[in-house]
Amino acid sequence: MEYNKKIIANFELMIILVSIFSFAYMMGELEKNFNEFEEKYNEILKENSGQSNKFYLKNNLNIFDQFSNLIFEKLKDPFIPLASAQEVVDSGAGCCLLAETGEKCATTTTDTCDPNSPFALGSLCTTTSFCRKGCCYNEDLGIFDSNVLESDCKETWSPDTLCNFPEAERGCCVLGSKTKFETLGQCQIDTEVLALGNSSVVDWRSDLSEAQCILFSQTQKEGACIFQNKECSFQNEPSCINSGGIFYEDSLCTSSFLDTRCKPTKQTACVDGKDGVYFVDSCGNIANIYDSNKVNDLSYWDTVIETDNSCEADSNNGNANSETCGNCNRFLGGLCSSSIDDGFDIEWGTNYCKPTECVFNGETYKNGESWCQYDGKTGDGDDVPGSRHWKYVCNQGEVDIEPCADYRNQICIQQTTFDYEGKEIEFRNAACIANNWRECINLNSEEDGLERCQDALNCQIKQINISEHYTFNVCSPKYPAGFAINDERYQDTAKSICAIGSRNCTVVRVATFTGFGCKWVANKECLNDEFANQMNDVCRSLGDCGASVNYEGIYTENFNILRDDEENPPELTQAWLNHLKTLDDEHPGIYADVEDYSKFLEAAGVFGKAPVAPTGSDAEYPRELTTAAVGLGGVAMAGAYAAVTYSSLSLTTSMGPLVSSSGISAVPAASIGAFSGVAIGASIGFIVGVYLAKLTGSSPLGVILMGSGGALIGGAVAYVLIFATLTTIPLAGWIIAAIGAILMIIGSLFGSADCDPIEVSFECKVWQPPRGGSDCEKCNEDPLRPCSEYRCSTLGAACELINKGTENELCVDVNPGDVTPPRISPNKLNILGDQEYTEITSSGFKITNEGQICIDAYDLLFLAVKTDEPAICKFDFKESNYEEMDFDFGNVFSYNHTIAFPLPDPSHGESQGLNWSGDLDIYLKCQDRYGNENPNFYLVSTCVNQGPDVTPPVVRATFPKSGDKISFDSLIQRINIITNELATCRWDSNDISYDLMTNSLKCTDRFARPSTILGYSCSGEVPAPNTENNFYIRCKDQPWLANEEERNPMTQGYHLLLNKPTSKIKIDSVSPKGEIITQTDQTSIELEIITSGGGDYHACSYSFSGYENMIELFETGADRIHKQPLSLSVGKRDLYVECFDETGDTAKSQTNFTLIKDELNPLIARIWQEDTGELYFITTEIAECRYSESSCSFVFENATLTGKGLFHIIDAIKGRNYFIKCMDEKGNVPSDCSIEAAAI
Amino acid sequence: MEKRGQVTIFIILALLIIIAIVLFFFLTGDVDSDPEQMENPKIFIDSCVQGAIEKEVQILMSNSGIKNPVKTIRYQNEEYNYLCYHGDYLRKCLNNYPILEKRVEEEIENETRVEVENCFNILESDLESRGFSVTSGSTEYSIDLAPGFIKINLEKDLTLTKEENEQNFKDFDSEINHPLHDLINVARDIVNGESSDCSFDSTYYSLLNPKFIINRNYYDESRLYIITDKQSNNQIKFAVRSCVVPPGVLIE
Repeated sequence: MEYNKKIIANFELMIILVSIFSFAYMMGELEKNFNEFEEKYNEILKENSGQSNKFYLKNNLNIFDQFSNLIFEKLKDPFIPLASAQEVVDSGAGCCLLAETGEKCATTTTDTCDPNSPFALGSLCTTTSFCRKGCCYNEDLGIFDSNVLESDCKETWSPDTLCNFPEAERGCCVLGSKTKFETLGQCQIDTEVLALGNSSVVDWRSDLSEAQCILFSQTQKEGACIFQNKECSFQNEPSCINSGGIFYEDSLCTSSFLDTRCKPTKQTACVDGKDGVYFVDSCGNIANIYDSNKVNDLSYWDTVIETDNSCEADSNNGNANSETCGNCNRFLGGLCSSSIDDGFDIEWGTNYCKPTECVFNGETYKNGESWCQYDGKTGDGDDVPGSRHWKYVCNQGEVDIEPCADYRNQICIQQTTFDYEGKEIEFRNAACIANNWRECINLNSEEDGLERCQDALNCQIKQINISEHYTFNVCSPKYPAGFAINDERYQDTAKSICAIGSRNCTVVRVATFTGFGCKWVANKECLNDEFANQMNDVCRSLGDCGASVNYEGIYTENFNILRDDEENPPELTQAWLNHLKTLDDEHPGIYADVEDYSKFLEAAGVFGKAPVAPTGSDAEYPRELTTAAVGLGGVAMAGAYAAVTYSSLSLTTSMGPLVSSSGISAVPAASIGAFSGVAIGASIGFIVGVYLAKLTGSSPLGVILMGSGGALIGGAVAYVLIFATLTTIPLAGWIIAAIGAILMIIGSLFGSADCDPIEVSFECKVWQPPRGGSDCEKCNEDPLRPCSEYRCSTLGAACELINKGTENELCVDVNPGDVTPPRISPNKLNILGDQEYTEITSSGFKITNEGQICIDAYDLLFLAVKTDEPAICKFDFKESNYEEMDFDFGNVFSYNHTIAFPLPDPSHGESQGLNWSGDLDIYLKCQDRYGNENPNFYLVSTCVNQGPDVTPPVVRATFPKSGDKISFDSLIQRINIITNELATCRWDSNDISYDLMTNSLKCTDRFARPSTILGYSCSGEVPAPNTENNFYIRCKDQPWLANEEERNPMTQGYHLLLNKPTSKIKIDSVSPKGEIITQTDQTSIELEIITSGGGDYHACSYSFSGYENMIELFETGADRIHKQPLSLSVGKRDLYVECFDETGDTAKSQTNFTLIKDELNPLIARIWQEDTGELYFITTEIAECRYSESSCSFVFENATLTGKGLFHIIDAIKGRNYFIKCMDEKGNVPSDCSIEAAAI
Repeated sequence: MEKRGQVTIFIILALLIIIAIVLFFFLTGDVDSDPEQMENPKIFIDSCVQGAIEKEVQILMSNSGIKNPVKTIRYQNEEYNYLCYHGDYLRKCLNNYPILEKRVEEEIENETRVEVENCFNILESDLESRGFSVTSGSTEYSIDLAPGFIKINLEKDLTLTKEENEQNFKDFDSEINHPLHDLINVARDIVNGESSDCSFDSTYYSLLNPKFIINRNYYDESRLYIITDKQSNNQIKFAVRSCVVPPGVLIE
């Protein structure tokens, strides 16, 4: 009995132990089963989360859309005629000093270069000596011209392109009663030629600004200059003395006590350099300001009356439109003008103060004020296609219009106040400035682009926030660019920029617990119309893309939303549509932002930065679980599993002798073992049940039921095997087995609903105008906002600007009444490789491979057609309406329509449950600019070779490329490889067979959804400890096959060689440094950085404010010497320099330098002689002056002192010469004379 | 006498006066051979030379001061000479005609030199036909553009002899009131702004220099300028292509 208790105790213990393991295993299996849902869910979430802060240019909508990514890759190439050195060499071109077109320093071939012009084959113009630019000047004339080729300069030439010479600085030249703001040289010439005489003193004041110079002219002392015979001329003292007259300061020629022949009149005149209307005497001399009250007042004709004491001096509008007073002031609102020309009634004379203020839209603007006008809303990415920014200027009473650069390459910004000497002055000032939209687009492909976007000029972060898991940011321009949509040179770029706004949202669903229906897990909101609203908002903000109105308010929709379950996709809400349709309306008070331009001003001439190569995507895509038939059919498969199960059980039974060897008696041991065996059998049965449930696609409830049923059957089977034969099975055993079977059958009924994820794709297309040309004429209607090619093109697809450059330039409908659809024909020129177009008819053609009927699977299929007129072509693989066709060649009107895409192996598609065959029909239709589309399909047929797949995959590309240099510091390098078909890949340092390779790459693409245009991507990390690192990559196709034997491995490894530079990139020197003495406030310096080591391509950037705002050097990359001319003001500068190579390695350096202005010697601003004989002169700064009567070669300290200060007097004696030198407080004294003067 | 008779007499007298005037001009020939001018050759030379120069200046003004420009653009049926041009995108224009003032002076000199000589030839042959013996030396001829006028520097030794009387002339300098110098200065300011800063602020410039009207048109990636001197309505026009940004294209 005790023995039995012991056995029972042991048995119970065994049951507990076995049950623990069995239950644990069951739970594990169950959990694993549910985890698969979770894993799938998480992967999809990861795919949809906007990929953190990094914006991937990858578009996984379909293979056709991948093509656009290839185009985006091309953005790294120069799209504009900025040829690289290598391109120039490769093309046989060079730098030509004078091209046949008259263009100078152009990159041409010898054929188009003037035969007599120098030509440097293979050279960029920036590197040739004959295209050196500089300053051409004639110091005697005081003329300095910037940006002149040395060969064009017949005068003196200096390499300082900005002419930062002391002699080039402008000052106020006082020419009698007039002033001119010009160089000293010009002043000397003007003083001489304006009959002020050769010996006249040049009065040039460097300390006056241009505006001060104007005001200074009004303070000049003038008076009557009396000659013989009572002749009189009103002028200033020096010119009077020079011309031999007697000067009477502040007297008028009509002065009664001078008794000249000049008499008062009622005539008036405008005077050059002065604002007011002046009376004129009978000799033609000007007198005082016109004042109708003084016409008969002779005392008004005696002496000069200052404008401040003249009529209406306190007028706040500069006496504009005054009939009685000519005391005009251009800054306050009045400027002298002809009353006859303007039809203004004036009491006396023929001149009046013309109003310089302007009234526009009921608002008054002061003379010189400027303001911005827009064609609709601006900013926030809301500028509509065709719109332009306009700067309006109040120019002397007239409103002038300055259009900012078209295509919104410039924006108009406006300030309403400015600070003047600490006081806020109200004065509206607008400016057209460069639109920095390119930088915003480029930032999306940079590592820290979104962080930098916050601070980037004219950029904004556009946030998509559709659901918790579909949230991402895009850096987009505040003022999107306009596209030249009809110019084929720019269409690819337009398509690529818009494609940035193309994104997918995967809506995740799982079956409910019972399997009846699905429940939403994530991104359900992507099925709502808000998805369309937000995605289109991003799309519009990138440029002329998406759904938008043109500047006349005509709406067109240029996006495509697809759901892969072919249900109705989201649409723009009516409210949002209404909002879009208001964007062409005026939005008063909304202006482009005035941002901080200071750091960009230093970068004049540098626009944006090349986008770095988009890195491989880390995004993981869930494997698509293809569900086989669900239901009872799955039960039939249980037989096969049963056999496996049975063999497993056999193994278990064979353990019996081993157990018995433990010394436990046979029966109890058998009994305990039997119970354990039953438990184990139940476990195995459970597993089988769960797997069957999985295979049949059961719901979680179905899995539990089938698992439980399996467990019961398994237990029963185990019992039979241990305790009995089929005939001795107790009834309970049969019942248990029956229950198990029933449970499995019931469980199989709980099939899981088809809850595949729904992929919603948004395709952002280039904006297109409405079809036809009914609105073209609207472009010609507003003379204030003239039409342009861009504006015209946005009013209608058929609108064109004709008579360009003539007075009859008009935007018109080029072919009204056109009802003929475009004619489609194959475009053989655009086929690459071995493909041929055969059986060409008017309704289609066939694509074959040379010598074969069908093309090989995974080869790129080139579909190229052309139309006889610009058209947008679409195609589909089924017959559908033009509007409903899913694919296009790019939403732009073009003659040539080409697309390339790979076609997978049909058998592969079929094996994945897709309805593919080797035959493929492509249905194509085109629509012209009037909306005429082909009534019938243009059918392009092709087929893909079918048969057993015996071809191993091909590695089409790697990133980095074999032979590329990688970072000097890197010990591990990330690699991406692209295969032509879906495959699994491995690598090794030796070229061994695929099966022996132990290092796997991660291949996350899904079948028929390659992540690049070239094919399927796999990625991983490889060690890179050496200067040369060799790897061999092999791949094996058809990863979905269970039988490894049927898969085709590569028989030869793809060799990948990754090199490291022998040393890391280094900055050897940076100049300038230290102190630089300059003679001007603004100085031209050349920033020069010399680098060494690193990779083959070095580029550098600089900043004066820190490493956050780096500006790329203009001349960089081609060499190890990187230069940038800069124009800087005096002061201390901290210079931050950073250089990088193609490996991504960087080197930084910091230096500083100080620009010190060499103080100039004091100048004599003015000199004159009084009647009493004294010679007076004024210096430009406080100075001590001394003179000699013999020569300039005197010892300063020993010479005669004239005094110290600004004002100096010499008691001169007639006929003697005075050689004068002045020394300022800093001890600056000229070696030569400051001035030579002769006493008269 | 009746009033009607008086009126008749006045009419007859008026007719006689008119006939006398017509006869006077008919008998004395054209203005060019005015004896007063012939005996004071400077008057004739001034008139002749200034006429030639004014005609040439008008031609040059429409071409921004350059007779045969290398590169032009046609806009509204008129040719605009590129004073500053770069064919690439984003490049500051190259000043094609540095020190334009001197270039224009040379252009005027070169284009009018033959006509100036011709003026002297006409003068000499006319004087000789009137009995003067004329001897002349070489011609020193140059043009200076000055603020508000064109200065003609013309020197030629000219000796007129008739019977025992001899007259010597040398200095034929004269001036033409014309704002060419000032217009060229404005053009230079614009070109220097465009070539160094990619732009020119015509608003500010016009405010400080109201005697000029600056019109700017935008056409085919170029800026076309017309500068007008308000007082004389003389104009200079030219084109600039500088710092052009391509439409909708990303830039390296």
